[in-house]
Amino acid sequence: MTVNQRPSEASSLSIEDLVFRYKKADSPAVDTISLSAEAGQMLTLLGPSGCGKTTTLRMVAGLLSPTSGRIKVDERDVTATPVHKRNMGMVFQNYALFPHLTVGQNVSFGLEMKRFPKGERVSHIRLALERVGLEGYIERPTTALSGGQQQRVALARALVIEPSILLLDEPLSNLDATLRASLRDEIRSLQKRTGTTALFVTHDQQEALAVSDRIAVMNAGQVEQVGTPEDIFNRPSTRFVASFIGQANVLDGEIARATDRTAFVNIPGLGELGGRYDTTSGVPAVGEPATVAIHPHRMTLHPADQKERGAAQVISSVFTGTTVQTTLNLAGRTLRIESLTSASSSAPVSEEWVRLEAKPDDAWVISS
Amino acid sequence: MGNLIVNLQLLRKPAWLMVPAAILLAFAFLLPLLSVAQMAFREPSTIGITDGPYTVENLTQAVSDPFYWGVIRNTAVLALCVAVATTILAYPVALLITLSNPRIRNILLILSVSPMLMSSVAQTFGWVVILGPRGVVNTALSYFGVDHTIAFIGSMSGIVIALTEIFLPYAVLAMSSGFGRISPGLVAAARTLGANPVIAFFRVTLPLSMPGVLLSLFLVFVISISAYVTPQVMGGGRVFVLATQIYSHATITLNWPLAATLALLLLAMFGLFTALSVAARRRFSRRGVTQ
Amino acid sequence: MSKLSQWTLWPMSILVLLFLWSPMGVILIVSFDTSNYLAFPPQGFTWDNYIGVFENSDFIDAFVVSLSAGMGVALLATTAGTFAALGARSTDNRWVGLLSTFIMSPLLMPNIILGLAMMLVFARLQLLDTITVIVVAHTVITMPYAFRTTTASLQTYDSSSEAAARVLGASPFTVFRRVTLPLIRPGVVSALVLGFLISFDESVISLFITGRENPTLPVVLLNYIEMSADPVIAALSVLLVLMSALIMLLINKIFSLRAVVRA
Ligand SMILES: Nc1ncnc2c1ncn2[C@@H]1O[C@H](COP(=O)(O)OP(=O)(O)O)[C@@H](O)[C@H]1O
Ligand SMILES: [Mg+2]
Repeated sequence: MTVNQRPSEASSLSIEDLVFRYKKADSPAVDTISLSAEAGQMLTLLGPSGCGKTTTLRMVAGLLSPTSGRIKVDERDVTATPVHKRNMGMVFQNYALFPHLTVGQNVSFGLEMKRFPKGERVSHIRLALERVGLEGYIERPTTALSGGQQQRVALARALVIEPSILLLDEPLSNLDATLRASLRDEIRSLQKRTGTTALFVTHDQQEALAVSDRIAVMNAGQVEQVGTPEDIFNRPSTRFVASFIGQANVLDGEIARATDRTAFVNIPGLGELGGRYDTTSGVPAVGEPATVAIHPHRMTLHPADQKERGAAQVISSVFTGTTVQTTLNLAGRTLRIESLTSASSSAPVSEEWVRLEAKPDDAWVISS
Repeated sequence: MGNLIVNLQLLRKPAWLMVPAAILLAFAFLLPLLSVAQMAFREPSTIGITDGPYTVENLTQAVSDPFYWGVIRNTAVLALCVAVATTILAYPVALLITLSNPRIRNILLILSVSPMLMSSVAQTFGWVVILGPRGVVNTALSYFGVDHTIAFIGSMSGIVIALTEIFLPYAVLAMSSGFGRISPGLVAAARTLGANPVIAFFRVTLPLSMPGVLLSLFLVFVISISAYVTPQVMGGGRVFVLATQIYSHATITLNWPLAATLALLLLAMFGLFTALSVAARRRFSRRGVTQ
Repeated sequence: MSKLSQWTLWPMSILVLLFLWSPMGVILIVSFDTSNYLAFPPQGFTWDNYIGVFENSDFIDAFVVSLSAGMGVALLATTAGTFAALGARSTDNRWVGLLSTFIMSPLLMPNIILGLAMMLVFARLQLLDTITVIVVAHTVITMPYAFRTTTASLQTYDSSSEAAARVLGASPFTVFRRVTLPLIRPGVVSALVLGFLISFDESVISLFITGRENPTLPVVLLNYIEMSADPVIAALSVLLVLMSALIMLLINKIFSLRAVVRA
């Protein structure tokens, strides 16, 4: 019996109109969110801290009961199912390993709860530890492990029970930067290999973009946008998503004209800026308020004269090796530009006047 | 010049500031304890201060006389009952303190610890009123038609009940300080792994609370074997423990050598159990790591 | 917290806390009783028992003894304990560890043994039954607390603030007055309060070293309880507890209760 390959057994998850209100709180921590993850997918909840990600995850796990709404696994309503009968593996932010048990006993815990016979348990534990690269650690006390190792044990402990859904609550946030990147990729490959459906929570957009099949961007208890990492990055549907992901520059104005592919927005003090838009909702009407989102690395700088229309002044420029990060003042707005360095060109100088350019294909217009 | 530097060093690191405290303790703590040891080996007397010849008679008498064996046994049984009772009663409170949010935790802590700073004489008096022949319990019993009064005072039961209450704050403190590894997150982890609340308690919370439980048992045991006021008052002069015997030999029969001998016995018990508790704790914490 | 713990821990804890506070509650009720012997339920309501406390010269005399001794103990124990705590900072001195253990060791000694031990020595010196001997005896058992609270507040800041003051041109004495003392004030104040409180409540050692002349209040209370327990004793107990409670509230304001009582 192997627990390795079972995409066919993977479950789907769907959340419908979920609301959670903490006792004595003015506004709900989670406010009517609906999401779904197909079998075998990694769905990520991404948002700033305090936006309700953990609360959502704990409701899915069954550790909190929703104020209203439903949670379904494989179309089966589990909203009223108690935690211990949901069969969901959870990896906690602070690992939550049992300090009185060894690595092996930690991994064994869930199997014992499922009344696996002893002989079978051993082979499962070995396989699970092998998969996270901790073969020789079965007898070790968990207190003698590094942070990364502890998180691997937590992962093995959650996966060994063959959970219908794997829940991960900021599993990497307590690790240092290099370990974070490598463990991130390990989690992703393990999730793909086991074909487990996963709900991943993070406030780190880099992490979310790297591991997810789909991302749900949350803000103040609500879901702002759900989409693939490319969707979220290139085609943000709200101003919040645009500014949260990739720290795009967002410029407000109103629609000047629009073709069937490109909309041109008149930005006060800058002039017209063109960009792609969401064609599924029709051509935006002239005069409608709109926002242009452009990522810092998708704009170029050119020398300009102070009197020129749309000229911006360099506030500061920081050389980081691969790129130069320039902060500009454009008619009272602060913009960030990131440009690749080359051996011949030199970084812009403070107080210098520059002109910005961006290709319409690289900009995105959000009309409201 | 060299001397000056040395003096400056002394001023900067003034270890000699500890000397007054040390002298006071040498005179009023160490010297008295040594004189107990000395007094224990003098010939029995009935006149208080004595400079009689040295002998081991007191010690042989105390450990061979069945009466004193009974006293020692009473002392140990009393302490054991109190230790177990306080630990059981304090357990839910200490656990609640550990699991609550800081605000509730503070309120619970103040409610359960503040009686510790209140006069134990006054608290014992409260138990006299509750358990006395015309006290709260017996009045209530007769109201329900039980017509014989229960003699809590003058029996072990009354002492155990009163001491259990008086030492409860110590047990709560000891336990909540030993509950450091318990957290709601671990219970949540166990629950997601398929443990129902009862199993999660027995497999996670209870094992993690053992260091606190042991700490509480030992602490209350050692403070109970030396309790005097409550056994004296609640025992009504009919229950004998080492502490009451020490006091009566020191102030009534004026057999100071015997009082000193009993004090040494009490100290030996005290030391034995303190050492045991240290050993148990060390052993336990090591097992907690390697098991 | 889970529902289960909510539904089991709270009711159990409330019962235990009721048990814990029941003697206090009962004394309070009885202290207003009109009958002149102890009985339950009370016969009526009166303040007379409290007036009775102040009309009893035994109580007033003992109160004066306890009050003077308590203040002496607070001063002596806090002074010696604070000096010792300051001295204990010189960790490179090999005697410091030993002396610190010595200063804390009275905490490990049962009062019944300390009482006997002090009686043996002070009887020979003919000091028994004086306020001086109460002060000395209680200083022994309260100095560890003074040492600990001051050490604790010394540890909450690091000595670099003193170094900073020196660099800014302050003399060692000025540093002590302007930097060290203000920083350890919470520890020193709670040492004072705690010293008074412990001395004021202590009964076992006092039983051994006091007699007819200068008995402390707990000793008198104990004698009355054993001989003639009546509602006036209850009123006195309430007053004693009330006094401790007030002082304790004060100390909790200044210094966290937990830091003080932590064993
Ligand atoms: N136990 C709680 N009681 C009251 N409010 C809470 C509690 N836990 C979280 N909250 C509030 O609910 C909101 C969402 O919290 P959470 O789900 O933990 O956010 P995230 O995981 O996205 O950082 C926050 O505003 C937080 O302050
Ligand atoms: Mg969170």
